Amino acid sequence: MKKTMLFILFSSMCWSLLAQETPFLKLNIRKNFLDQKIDFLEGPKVLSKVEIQTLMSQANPETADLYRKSVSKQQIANIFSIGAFASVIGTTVYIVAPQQQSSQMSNLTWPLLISSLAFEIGSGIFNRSARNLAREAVDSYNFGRTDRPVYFEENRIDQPLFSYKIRF
Amino acid sequence: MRILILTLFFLGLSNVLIAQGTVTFQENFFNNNRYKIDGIESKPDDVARLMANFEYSQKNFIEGHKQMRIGSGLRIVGIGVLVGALVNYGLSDFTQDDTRTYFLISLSGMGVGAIGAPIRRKGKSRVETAVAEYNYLKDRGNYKEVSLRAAPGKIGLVFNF
Repeated sequence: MKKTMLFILFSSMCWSLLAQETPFLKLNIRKNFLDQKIDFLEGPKVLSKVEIQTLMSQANPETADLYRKSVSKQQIANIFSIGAFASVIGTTVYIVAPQQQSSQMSNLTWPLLISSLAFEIGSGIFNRSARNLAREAVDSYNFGRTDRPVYFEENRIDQPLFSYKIRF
Repeated sequence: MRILILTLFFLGLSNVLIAQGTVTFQENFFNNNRYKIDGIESKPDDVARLMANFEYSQKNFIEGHKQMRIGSGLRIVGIGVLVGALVNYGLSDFTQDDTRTYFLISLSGMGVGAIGAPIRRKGKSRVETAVAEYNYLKDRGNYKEVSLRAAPGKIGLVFNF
């Protein structure tokens, strides 16, 4: 009995030690002058794009899919915000520039203003959905993992009929 | 059996944490956070109560949430002042004095809105770090668990500490 208990304790210790090796991701969202940057942190370290992709694809195909969606949304949002910036600059140039053909200017100012507003709203929508998708991806990576380490292959319990947890 | 009971007892003594849920959140249309505890939608007060065992995260969460509310309140006040000034100007006689007051009021409204935005952003980042820290501590911190599992033909205890 003593020996078996010690064995169980030792194996569970190994389990917990090895289980802690999987990285725990965290998001840091910051805003530049033009666009939004989503950093994936592992502790204090900022992960590169390739590292994130490998981690996500190791965890779950759905997680990798969420990450890919988030990146594409972010790209669309960046295009939108660059468009908004360009149209704001265009409007100011048209307003400030010396007016020689006044009729043409007044025709172009309103469309530029409206398009800058539309670009701004679109970039906001896509930025938000990129943030939400990145959060979902990180959550599913951190908490929805299926690749738990298995030490006793023959006694492995994949889908328990009954499971009861006591947490201290 | 005695050893098992003793082990459980010491595990329980060494770290007393109540069963806790994972906190996740998404942003809604107004960029406000909507929290979920284990997939069930819940209010920020519930999340703060859940963090009771992690004082630092709880403090950051509550204060960040307050900052977010103050910041968005200031922004709303700024927008309200702008709209009010515009309405006031539209109802006036468009004299030079009216134009000057409209200009000054709308400038002050913009100023209030501009003060509110960074306060809100700071509160948001604080809330985000608090939630991430809480989740990390709950999941990977000094945290013990014993679970009993049964499957066809097998039964077992799982220790995690």
